[in-house]
Amino acid sequence: MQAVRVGLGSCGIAAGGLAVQRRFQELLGPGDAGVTLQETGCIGLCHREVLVEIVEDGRRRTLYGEMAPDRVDRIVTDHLRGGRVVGEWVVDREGLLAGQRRIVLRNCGEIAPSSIEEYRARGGYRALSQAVTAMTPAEVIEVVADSGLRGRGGAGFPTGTKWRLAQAAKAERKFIICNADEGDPGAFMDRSVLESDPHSVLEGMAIAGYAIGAGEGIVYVRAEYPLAIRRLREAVASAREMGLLGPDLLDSGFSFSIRLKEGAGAFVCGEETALIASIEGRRGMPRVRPPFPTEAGLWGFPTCINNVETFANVPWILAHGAGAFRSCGTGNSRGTKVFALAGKIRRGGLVEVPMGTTIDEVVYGIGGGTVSGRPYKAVQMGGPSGGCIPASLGGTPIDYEQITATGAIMGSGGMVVMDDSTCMVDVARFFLHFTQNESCGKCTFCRIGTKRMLEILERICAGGGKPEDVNMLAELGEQIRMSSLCGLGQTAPNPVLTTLRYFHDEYEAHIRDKKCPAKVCLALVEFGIDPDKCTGCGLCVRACDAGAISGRSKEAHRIDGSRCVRCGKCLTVCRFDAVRKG
Amino acid sequence: MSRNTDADHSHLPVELTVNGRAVAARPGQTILELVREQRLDTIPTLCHEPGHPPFGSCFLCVVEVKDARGLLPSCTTRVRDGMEVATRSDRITRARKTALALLLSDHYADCACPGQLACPAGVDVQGYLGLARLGHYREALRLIRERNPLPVVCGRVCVRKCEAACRRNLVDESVGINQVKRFVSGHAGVHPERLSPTGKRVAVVGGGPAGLTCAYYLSLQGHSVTIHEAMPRLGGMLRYGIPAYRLPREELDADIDMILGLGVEVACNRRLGREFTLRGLREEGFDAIFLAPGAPLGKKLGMPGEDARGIESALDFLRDTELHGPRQLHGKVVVVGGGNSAVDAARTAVRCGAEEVTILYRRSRKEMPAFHEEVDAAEQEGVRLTMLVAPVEAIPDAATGRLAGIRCVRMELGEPDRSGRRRPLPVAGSEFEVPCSFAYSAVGQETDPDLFSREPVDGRPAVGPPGTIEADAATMACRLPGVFAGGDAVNGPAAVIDAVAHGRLAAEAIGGYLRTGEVKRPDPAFVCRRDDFGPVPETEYEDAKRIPHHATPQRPAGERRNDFREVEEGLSEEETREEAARCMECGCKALYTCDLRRYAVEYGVDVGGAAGHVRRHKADDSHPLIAYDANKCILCGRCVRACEDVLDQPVLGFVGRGFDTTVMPAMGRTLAESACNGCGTCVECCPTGALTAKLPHGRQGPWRATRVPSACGFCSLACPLDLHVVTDGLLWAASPVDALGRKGDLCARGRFGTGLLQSGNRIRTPMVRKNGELAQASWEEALREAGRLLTECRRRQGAGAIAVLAADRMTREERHLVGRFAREGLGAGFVGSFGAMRRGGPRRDLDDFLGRTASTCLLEDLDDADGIVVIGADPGTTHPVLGTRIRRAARRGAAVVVVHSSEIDLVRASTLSLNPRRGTSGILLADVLRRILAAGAVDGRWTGSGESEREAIRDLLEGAAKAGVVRACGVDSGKAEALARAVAGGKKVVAVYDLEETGERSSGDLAVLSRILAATGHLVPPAGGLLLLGSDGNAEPAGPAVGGEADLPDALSAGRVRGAVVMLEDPLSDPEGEALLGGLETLVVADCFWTRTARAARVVLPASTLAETDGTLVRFDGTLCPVKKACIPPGGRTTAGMIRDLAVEIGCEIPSALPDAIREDLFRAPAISPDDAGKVLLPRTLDIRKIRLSGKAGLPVRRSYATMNEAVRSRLAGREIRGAF
Repeated sequence: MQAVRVGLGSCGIAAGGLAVQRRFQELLGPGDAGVTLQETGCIGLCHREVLVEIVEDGRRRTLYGEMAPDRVDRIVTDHLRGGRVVGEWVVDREGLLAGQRRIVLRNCGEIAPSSIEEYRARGGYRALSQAVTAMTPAEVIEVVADSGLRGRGGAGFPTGTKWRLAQAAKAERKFIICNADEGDPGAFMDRSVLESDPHSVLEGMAIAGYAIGAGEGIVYVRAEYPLAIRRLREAVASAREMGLLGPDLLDSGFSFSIRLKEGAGAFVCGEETALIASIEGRRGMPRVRPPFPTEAGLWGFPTCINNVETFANVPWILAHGAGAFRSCGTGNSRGTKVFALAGKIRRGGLVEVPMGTTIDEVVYGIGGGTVSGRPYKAVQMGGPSGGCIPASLGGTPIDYEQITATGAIMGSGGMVVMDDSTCMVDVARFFLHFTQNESCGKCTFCRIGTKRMLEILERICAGGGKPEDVNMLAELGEQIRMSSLCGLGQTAPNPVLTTLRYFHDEYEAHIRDKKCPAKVCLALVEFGIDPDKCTGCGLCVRACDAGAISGRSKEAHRIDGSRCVRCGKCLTVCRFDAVRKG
Repeated sequence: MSRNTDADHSHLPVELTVNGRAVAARPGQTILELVREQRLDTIPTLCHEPGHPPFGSCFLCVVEVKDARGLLPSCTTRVRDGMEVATRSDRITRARKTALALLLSDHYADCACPGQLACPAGVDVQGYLGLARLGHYREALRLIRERNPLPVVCGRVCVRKCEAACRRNLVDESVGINQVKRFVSGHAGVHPERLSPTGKRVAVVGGGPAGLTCAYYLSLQGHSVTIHEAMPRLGGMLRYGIPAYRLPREELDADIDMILGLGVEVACNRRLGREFTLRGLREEGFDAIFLAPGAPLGKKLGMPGEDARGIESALDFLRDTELHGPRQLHGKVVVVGGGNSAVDAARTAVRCGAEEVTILYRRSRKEMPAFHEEVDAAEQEGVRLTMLVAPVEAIPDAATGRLAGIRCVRMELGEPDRSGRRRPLPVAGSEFEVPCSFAYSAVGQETDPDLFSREPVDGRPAVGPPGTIEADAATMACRLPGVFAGGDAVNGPAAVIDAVAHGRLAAEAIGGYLRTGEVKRPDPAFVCRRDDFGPVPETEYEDAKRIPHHATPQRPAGERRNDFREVEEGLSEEETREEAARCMECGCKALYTCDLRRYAVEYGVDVGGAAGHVRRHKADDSHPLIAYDANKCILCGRCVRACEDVLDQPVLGFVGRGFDTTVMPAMGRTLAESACNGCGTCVECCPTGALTAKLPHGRQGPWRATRVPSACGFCSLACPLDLHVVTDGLLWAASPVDALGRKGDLCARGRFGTGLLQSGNRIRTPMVRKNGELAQASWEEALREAGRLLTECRRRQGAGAIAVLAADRMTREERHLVGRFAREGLGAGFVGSFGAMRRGGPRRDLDDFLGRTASTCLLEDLDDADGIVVIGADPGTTHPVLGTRIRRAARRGAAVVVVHSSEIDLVRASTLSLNPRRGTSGILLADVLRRILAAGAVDGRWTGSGESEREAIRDLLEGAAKAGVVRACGVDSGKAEALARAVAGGKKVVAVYDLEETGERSSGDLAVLSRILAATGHLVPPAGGLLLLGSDGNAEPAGPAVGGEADLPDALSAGRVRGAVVMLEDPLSDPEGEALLGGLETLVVADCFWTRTARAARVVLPASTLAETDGTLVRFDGTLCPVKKACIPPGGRTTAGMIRDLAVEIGCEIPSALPDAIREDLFRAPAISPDDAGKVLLPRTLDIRKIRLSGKAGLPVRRSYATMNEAVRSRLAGREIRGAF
């Protein structure tokens, strides 16, 4: 018996997974009766997509990376039919996953996401069954509290405490909301889990519902995640069919239904009160807390909101016990954390590491260092709400308190690696641009203050920085942090404040010397042509609207710096890598 | 809206400290509420709307709480035990300033009109243009005088910096601001009030514009002022420098006399430095001195031969002309210079008979500082202009030594100098000679150098470079204590208005100095200007209508060059008002109410502090009642929340994200296209001028107004409102505001209609029909004629032949007088309201049951009812404020049941809605009563005459129900059951029924409804009640009925009525009314508006509106609501006064006022008190069998015949406002 598993998460599909799957379908004929073609989710090795795994007799597993339709033929002939492993395409699965601890991602890439049977085969829904049949709600909460699980959405509020508050609230209706409005640019942990293992989230929600006494669950998921939505719908339907969701589930007397609510992609709707407003059909705008949602949330009823990763942890904790979870991690941060590793990293993708792992271990150990091989300069953690941690603090263990102490935040799991070709002022500008655009416009400081900060950063990047700008940024940033209603505004200045703190010299270089050390800010860059590489093809001359490039055909060209407007077009059109920034 | 059942808060007070002071707060209170309620401090906030849940977005209200992470917004932070709050600190101030600076950095708006800002004296240009446009000339003049006591003078000779700055220049030509001022200044009679004497004395040195102005404002403050003037008469350069043909002396004297009229003393022919000294003034006991000696000396040309006879300074020439009359000139005259004095001298020389007058100027005409109109006028009068020429030497006649000519050199223009004008340079070898007999130099002015020569050195004020006195620009204070200075002596020669500005600044500072002994600089004025964000593009005014400017009329040149009579003529009243209407009203309507501006001043915020990109929006001017300028919006969201509160679904909302977030109607609609019903609540919530009411007067101000609390008379709700009164006939209404800033509700009619009543189609004078035409008449004449007609009619036809028709809408006092006038004066047979008669007369449905057909509880009982049944009423449309109140009750959890034949807007807020066919609600209600009786849950008090009676009625009902509710009404029987359960099950159930909703009326409905309430124990408070709505201000059952309507139609049709007095009703606009009353011989009408009835009258008497009278209205639940006289009616007499006078005319003395006891008697008394509850018995007269499909369909449209309502309704409707009125 052979099973061919094609990785068909969004990453696999984007890399061409569907074409690979089609090729297998074309090639596998009646003679391949013992071969089944399956689809699975994302295992996290995004840099090697498309991934295809051949499982023989349910035991022997071979993982192939960078699959393409034209490679499928050889896999079929050599491996499936000939029994010969195609060694050069094999991915060292164990090696690449070394250093990881997979709790949340336990099923990702391992099972067919649309198969509830496979999920159950790996112990799925046993935790729910155990909870509703053998435990009181208080006992469930006790286990979760004991495990030390904290909200994985970013703020790290102890999950057990939140559940306890929601349970204590007396009301005729209560709600569980799964926050799947993953909005940080570059983050895709939640999407991956929903696409690859939707049942773990549903099970977690049902357990939470039992614990706090809620009968209704809502998954608030981005409409931009069509695959996740499809898999969730399938999962809800099959779970209901099997009596794992719905009225009197597992004959326990406990009823729990789950529905989906698609969000239209407003970043601020990741904030819980804005999210609630959005579900209620109003503009996604945060409101004052208290009352907290656990007291008065959706439609005014007590509501417990956790994010995807938090819920995915819950069944594991119940199944393995609080102690098993506690044993992983450090200090007040227990369990694991999933990161979307991106940026100038060699092996980008989804990783799950035990709390306490250092940043260096993630970047060098798991991520394999930077693409260029040069040392990394900083990691950006926590998305637009987070900050940049310099390489000098690479020994910082991943732990809510210690990350916060650097000025960044744990966040939901975005980790962008930067090297010396990244301009930190530009990074700050990028993230601030994002938050400014996504501000709901309610609070003065967030709406206008971030705009003014952004204008200053744009000015600095454009070479118009003034010496007092740095102080103005710091001052405004501090005020915005203090004077905003929700997390979006309170954390919006973080990318600026952390880069100001750790990369002050880069700001100085921009402002005082009118230089961008990373050569990213085009206005501060001198363009030149390497006479050795230039072939005199004239492409750049034609591209230059400013008429700054001259030179005879087939001879090295020159750029007249006084006429150059630094648009960078020559850089884009040159086929010989002859245009340089200096 | 927490549905948390665990909402039981502890009721023990919370103890905390605020600014170190221990205070006790209510649990759940926010810090802001606490601080406001206990007046611990004033915390600024822009986004908090008192009475609404906290929002927390502007972050202006931040406070420090010990151990909190940062500053906390006090509007959202709730008090906790042991909290330590500080409301003031440097950190708080910094944060508030930053918040304000950020808001202002995106506030593309003009606080005041650019003309006002350009005026050195800061005259409220827009304000007086608006008042002038509306014909309020005296008010306009009063407004000008607040800043400039020389309006007559300035109306003629002002340099008009306002007109240069006027935004109308971007459209066509500036508004002729000065022409308007000139016209207005001709309207005397406004005498400012002088404060009581302070006993302080101030000496003003110099009686020119600066000195006069200072004297004026000091006098107003109560100080005694003496002007010391060097010349024989007051006026300074106005008299001795400006020729009479520009400023006639009687006009100048008008302004001066007005100032002297305040008691200013004058000592003429006293020159400082010669006749008196500063030290001397001090010794005389003056407490302060204002120096305004001017710059009366002409500068010398500084060329050889200048001493020749025939050369003098233009100033001397002009002064001499004033002192001794025009002298006779001959030969050629040359004037050197390009300023106003040069032109004045040249034109004066023409008038003195010079053969030829030439102005020599060293630059080109474009650079001449004189008014270009003046230069043109001089040319028309024959003055020659020789440009680019400078004199170099005077050539005397060898024989006489008199001037014979001037040698000149031609000039050319070089590089611009510091003033921006190109510097003239002599052209070598271009010298030539100009023969002349007289030459006047007008090349500059200087102060008298001997002013302080007799003072001790330490007693002289500091003197700056070109001989000017040094003074602080903000206070005009000199370095000598108690000495101030202004005018040309400080500025060097400048405009009149600059001197006026100095005089006023000095008066302010001197006032402060006299009070406190210190000179305090005034707070820097905060002004937001669109120009601060870069030049205002002309494209913003693309859509502005081009309106031609009225040029200043001038006498013909050939005529005027022979005399000194005034050259320029003023505009006519018509032209003036047209010119004033050209004002585009650029200044903010919210100038006097804007919180953003107030806080910016309080916190000293710099407008440019956080400059950056600014959003530029196009203002939404589409709505007939509300203007929305998103440029001024600070996104506080108060309008959004207020709108949500009123309508449930807000018209306005946040659109877009980030910096570009805008408050506007959804889907890119304009306000006019939205569902806005024009209630205007948003306008009153707006802390800036983003949302403003469009005043019905055609001009928007802004003006300062006085608040007069009163009540609205447009429906039977009689909502309290505040009248904002600018002056007689210029007012608008707004919600009343309580001490904590919570606002009352108003609908579009109340908020916008009250103002509409003041303008438009008013009857302003009494009219008497002569030869078939109505002609203006005096009150006496009109009253005499009315009296004669009525007496005659009575004599010929008998007392019973005269009907008196008066609107229910009139105040109780007026109606009372009408009754007495009719009965005692006329002995009239028919007294009543035509409108009420047409609506079927007063309802008597409950008389046998309750004793009267009246509400049994108060409006306020809705607020704690847990069940509200709206039946046969559509309050959302007819009584919008009541609709809002019911929606609010629904939001707090009350069950709202709507029974109506159509899908009225309250259905959305309801928990249950039933749609019986029109005219069948009586059947439905009978069925409901049957179900309630069948269920047996019957209130004990209703047992009345016992179980047998109840059984009897039950049997009757069984019979009645046979028709089948489903078939008859089209209502599902489950729904009828639900209604029965809702009424029976509620703790406090209030039913709302509209007596005037004739379309919904069905036989027996109200009678059965009252029995349902009685049976379930909800008929009276505290368990519920019945609210009966009416359409007019005075609910019939509550007021003393004037009576007799029922007989009126019969009497009319029988021809028994031969004459009528109609007050504030318009029966002739109704076909039936026309048929009944059209042919009456004797018709006397009193009304505010020109109705059909008024036009048909023999005598028309102007009546007053509710804003013009004192009195009371009766709310539909019997509550008395006082109205206040806020201004004088245009006819001069109130309606009450008029009725009284008319009564006297026919020989009947009726009292002038009602005893207060009657008001006391009825004040806030529901018609049925709880004490009566037990007496409410089972009626014997209710014949259930009569409940059937009503054959009598009511009038399809609610119609009020009271003309105030009609006038407003038609005008609001004419503006195509959506929603019904």
